[in-house]
Amino acid sequence: MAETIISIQNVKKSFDDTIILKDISFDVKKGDVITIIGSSGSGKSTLLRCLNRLEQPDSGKIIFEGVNILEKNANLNQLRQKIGMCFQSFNLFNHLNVLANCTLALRKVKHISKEEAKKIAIEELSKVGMQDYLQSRVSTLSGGQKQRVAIARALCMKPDIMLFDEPTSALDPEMVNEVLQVMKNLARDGMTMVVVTHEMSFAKEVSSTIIFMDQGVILEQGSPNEIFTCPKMARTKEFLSFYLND
Amino acid sequence: MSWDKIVILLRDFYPTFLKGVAATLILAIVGTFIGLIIGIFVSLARNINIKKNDNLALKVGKWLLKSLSAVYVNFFRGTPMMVQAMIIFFGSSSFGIDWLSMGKWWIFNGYMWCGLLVITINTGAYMSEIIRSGLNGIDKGQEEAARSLGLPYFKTVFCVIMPQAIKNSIPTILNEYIVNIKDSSVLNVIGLTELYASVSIATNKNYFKVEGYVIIAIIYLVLTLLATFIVNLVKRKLDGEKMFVNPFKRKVVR
Repeated sequence: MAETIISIQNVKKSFDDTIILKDISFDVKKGDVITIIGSSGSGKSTLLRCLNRLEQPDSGKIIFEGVNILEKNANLNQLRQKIGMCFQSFNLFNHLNVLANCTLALRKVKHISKEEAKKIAIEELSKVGMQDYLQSRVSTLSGGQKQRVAIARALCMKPDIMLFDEPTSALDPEMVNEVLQVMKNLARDGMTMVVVTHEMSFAKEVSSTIIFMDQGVILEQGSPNEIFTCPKMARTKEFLSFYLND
Repeated sequence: MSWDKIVILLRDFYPTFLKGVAATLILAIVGTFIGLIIGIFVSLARNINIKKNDNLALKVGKWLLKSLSAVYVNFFRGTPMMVQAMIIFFGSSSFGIDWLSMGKWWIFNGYMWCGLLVITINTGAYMSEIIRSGLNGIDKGQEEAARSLGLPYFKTVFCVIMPQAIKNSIPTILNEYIVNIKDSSVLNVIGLTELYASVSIATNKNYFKVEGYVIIAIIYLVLTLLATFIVNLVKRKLDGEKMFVNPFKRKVVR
């Protein structure tokens, strides 16, 4: 059995009167690629954002490498270094160039020397094929390039797990593949990943487990084969039929 | 008004006018620069979030900081600088400050120290609102990205959010400098000899009043046009265009 990296136990979350997450539990083991699918408003993104406490759940436990990150005295800044995150809208730092985007956290959080930080950044940028754009301004990059830089930026911190919040939803169709390819490479290299996505072919090909969420609960989870070929729940079937018919 | 009188004034009193220009520029530059620094911190204080799970002491502290900064900004934006100058100049004595006993050097004297204080804290109030609207214009995702990399709150503010807010506000900040060049003239009420007050020195015997004020009007115009020119250069630079464009070769978009 591979060790458990992050364990989500009975997590509940509501905004005012709307309940977003109703009692969510699952484990992520080292090397897992977990894909969370479901229709909009099912709570996928909120769940993902709870994993590094960008959202604060109301109750439950999220144990990351033995520490409950929901505890009041948890050292969030230290924990977040180990949890990489990529956003739908990239969120690159607009005032910095590609290289500085990658080195900022290395310099300011890990206090690594300038040369050392640059070396790490170039190494990670090569993995995503952006090593030739070190001095480029963020605004001159295409969407796909931005997302690849954002992935490299997260990888620079050498995270133990990567969270992806709909990384391809804001991209033009022809740029989706370059980002998915980078993510596939990551998965192949053994990175533990939790991915919220609408890319069913990616989910089918790469995931070790697929979680189907509906109205704040995990309705069904299993291997891609189980979910895509013989879903147990009628709701899962209905959701998947939108994607598999075309 | 006659041309001769202007020439006489300039010939006999150019050191007076130059000193006035120096004083006005110092007031405008120092006021804008230190005012900006004050504005940065006051805008942060005004944007404090009081969270539900903060303990009581923290809640009270945050509330105090937030309220005090709101009072500061509203008072200094809501009253004329002339009145603020009088209150500070004459009111300081009850706090044991005697401006006139302070050190003198070149154009720096008690009036100047007091004037610098007034224009600085007055500008600080305006700057805090400029920076605040700059901060509100920054996408929330920038903060989330920085925090998710493990950057603590203050490093997120000073390395990620504030630089972008300031960059977006640079044209407005420089505009505040133009306002300060002109508005520093009201500081003559406390006896400060800046450009406006230099006219009374130059004309108190010869009564070439109109000529004197025409001279400083032109000087003010040159100073502000120069600043406007710089603002436009910076704006162009920020938009990623060339800083210097030959006006005769400018592309016309039809």
